[in-house]
Amino acid sequence: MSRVVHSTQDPVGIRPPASVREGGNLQIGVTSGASELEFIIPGLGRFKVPVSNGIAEYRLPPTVHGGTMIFISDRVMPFPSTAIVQVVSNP
Amino acid sequence: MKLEPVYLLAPEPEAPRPRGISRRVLFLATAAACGLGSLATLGVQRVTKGPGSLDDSDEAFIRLAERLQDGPIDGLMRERERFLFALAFGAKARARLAHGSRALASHLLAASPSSPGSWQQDGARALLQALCIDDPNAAITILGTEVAGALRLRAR
Repeated sequence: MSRVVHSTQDPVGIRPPASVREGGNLQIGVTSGASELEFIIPGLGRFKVPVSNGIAEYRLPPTVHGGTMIFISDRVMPFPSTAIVQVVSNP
Repeated sequence: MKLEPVYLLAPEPEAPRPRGISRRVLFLATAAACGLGSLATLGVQRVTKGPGSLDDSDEAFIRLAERLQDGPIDGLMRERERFLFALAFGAKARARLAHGSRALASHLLAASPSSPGSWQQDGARALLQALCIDDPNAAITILGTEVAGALRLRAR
């Protein structure tokens, strides 16, 4: 199970879920109109996840372990919405 | 009856013309290959943009983070997610955001000892991971051995 460490400061933007497990499915609501979100995952790299119907969906690969912080942004300037989600280990 | 030789002269069979590649075909093929190569390169860059490579959009994000680090610590703390996202771009961003990284680390360490799951612990963990995104020793390089060690303890 994982939890949101810091939700975005903006009332609109991106809304990460309350929890996700190692290897779980991460669904993020996007209200900023962004067509894709950028993820930065330590040990995995930077990549973009498309937004479809206001949802960006990404399944964590098994190589992303508990304790990893996932940096996410819609990169909508000048006020990008950004969130950091922590992955926690499966029980 | 007298037999006389008859010589038949037939034209030699034409040797088949070598079917090489004409200049036009060669030119078109080269142009197509160059075009496809460029597109493929762009595609790879887009998909596998490493932590070290920055584009214009990254620059804008780093400038935003620089404004945060030049402002008061409260603002940096309030918008630390944006700062940390830019910091996680890699070495070039890390060099430009070193001042803010040190300020954030000092602020996290100055707060009272953290309990598991607190913002100090999570913040310390996020700062360390953003700093060390492409270099495991970057936290020591930027923060110094003592501060980096204390931050690691705080992140546990």
